[in-house]
Amino acid sequence: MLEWLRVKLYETFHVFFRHFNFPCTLGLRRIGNPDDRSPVFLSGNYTLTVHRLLKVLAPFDCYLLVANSKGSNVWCAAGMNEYNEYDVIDAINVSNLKDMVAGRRIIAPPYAAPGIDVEEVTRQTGFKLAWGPTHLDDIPDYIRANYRRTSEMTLAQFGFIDRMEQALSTALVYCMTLFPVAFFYPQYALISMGLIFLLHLTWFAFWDVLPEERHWAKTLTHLAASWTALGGVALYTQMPMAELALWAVTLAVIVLLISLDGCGSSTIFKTTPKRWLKKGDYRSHFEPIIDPVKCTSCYDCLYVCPKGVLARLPKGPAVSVRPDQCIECLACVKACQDDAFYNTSQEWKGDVKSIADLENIMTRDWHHLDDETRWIGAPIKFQGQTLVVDQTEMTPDGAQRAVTRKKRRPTPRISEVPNASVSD
Amino acid sequence: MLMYSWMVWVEYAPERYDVSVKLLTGGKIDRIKDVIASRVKLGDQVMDIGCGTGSLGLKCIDHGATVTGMDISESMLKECRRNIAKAGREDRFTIIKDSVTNLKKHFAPNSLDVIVSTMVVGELSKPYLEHIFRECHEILKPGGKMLIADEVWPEGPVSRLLFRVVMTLMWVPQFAILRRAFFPVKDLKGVVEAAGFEITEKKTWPMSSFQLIEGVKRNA
Repeated sequence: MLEWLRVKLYETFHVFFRHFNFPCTLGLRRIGNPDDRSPVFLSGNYTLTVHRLLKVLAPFDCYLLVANSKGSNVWCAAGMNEYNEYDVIDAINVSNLKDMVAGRRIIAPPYAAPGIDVEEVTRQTGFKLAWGPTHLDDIPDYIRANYRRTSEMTLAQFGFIDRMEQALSTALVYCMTLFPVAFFYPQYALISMGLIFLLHLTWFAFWDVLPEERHWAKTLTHLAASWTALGGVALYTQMPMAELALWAVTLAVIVLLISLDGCGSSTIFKTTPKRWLKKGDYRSHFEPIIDPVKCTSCYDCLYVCPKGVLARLPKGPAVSVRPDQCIECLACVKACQDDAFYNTSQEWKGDVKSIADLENIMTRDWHHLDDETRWIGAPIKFQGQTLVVDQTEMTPDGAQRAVTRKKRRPTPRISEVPNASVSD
Repeated sequence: MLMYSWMVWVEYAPERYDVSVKLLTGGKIDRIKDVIASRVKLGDQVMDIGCGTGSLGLKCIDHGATVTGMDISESMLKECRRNIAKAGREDRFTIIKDSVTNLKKHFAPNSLDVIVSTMVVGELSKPYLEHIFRECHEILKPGGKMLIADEVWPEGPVSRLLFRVVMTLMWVPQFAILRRAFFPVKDLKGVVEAAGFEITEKKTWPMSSFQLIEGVKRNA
């Protein structure tokens, strides 16, 4: 009982402080009774992740290789170049993994893909990284399915629980920043802190219900709803006009700040405040296009894309089909060993530090690939874990291309073909 | 917007690294680096584990050494190259971008006079340190020295408690400024000894958790 309470308190603390680094011990963990045939999972050394992984993996006999992500989650660390091939090589070298397992496969979190040069890991250690499911809750299903990902396991999920955790941890950072104000205006500061928590929770709880962020639609709806609620409270309590104005402005500021934070987080989209102010949406700058001459159809980029931006032709190279869904994690660019990626928008955010010649890739001329834009908006479906362009429904004429480029059609529902072949 | 600004602030951590560390250690880090550099003799082959912005390596060069710095952080190495160019020491400072567990790949056994390192070992776990120090012992010449300075857990129970309080208080500012949380080493001397070194000096500073360990490779 006491132990249960301790674990719950520990988890609650870490959920609230998710925006800070909490490194845990590096190295190889043995779970159950693993032998030389047991699977090896890779992780960063962020405490909460490792804690949850140990819980999820508890029923299985396996190894967990904790490499140094400097105490951050793997996605942020990978983008910041703080979780790269060297950290994985270090972990393999130090743990002496080569002598412990017969296989040469490590199941890695796909969110680490923006940072890790997998070829370098293989060159130096002989181990191959296979991308596992994006969400650690899917790991048991992944193991039971004989280490095969379903289509859902390849995509970034931002479910209700995840969003609530995001809300609480972000609200806490806001409150910590506001804390000094409490010394001067304690009442105002405390009520504002309450509002910060409330508005974060509503923003993320109703994330699916609020309209999509186009021309500030999500933000304005959120603001209108909170002002309506304030109006109701003001009528009920007969709030003086000056006080009402103060709270109306406070609400507006909080809503605006929360909305602007939507520009920064990859799970949603990753754009710049400048673009958001100008266009009112969260779309990322980077719009990938692939050179079919350079592409060797290895589909490494498809395996790491968490948003279904890329698909492959039934017999042919990878193509960019939903560049508007891109969240600019740049895992595809990092994964591509053939230097086949180009950027049609010529703009990028620049927060991913793990790619050496990024500026060149982002700004080089792509117009010889003009023809490749015909795949944008093409019908796609999942075959196993890769999206495939459904050419049977495709009319290969220029007219359709013009339509899809002018007016972006809503993304079609992704349908999975059950028991399709998997190539990994 | 708040989180967004934090993220941007964090992105530029390497550019202000030297200043931040100086601020957070109250200027002590410079004195510690001076002490380490003063142990270097003319003509020594020095290797700096986790050379970072290169400040320690450049100090060693001032004492007549030839330095090889190892680091994996590209943003840090960018600062390092800039600092080397500013000092005009390109001819005596070599940078290797590879992981520190690959030391034997880059250095032959018995090839180095001195190995130095500051504020690196605190970021690694004990098995890592054992692995690295073992390799250091191999690549040093007989009589070669290893000088490690880092934050360590104090030994007395009172200072340990005090240290814990200060660490807790400093946690947020340290993270906010440096984005690196320090993790003091438990038994630095023991780990260095276990790798086969003979400890010739253990220097501490008053009112500080910093410790300098000098180990010498005795046998051939």
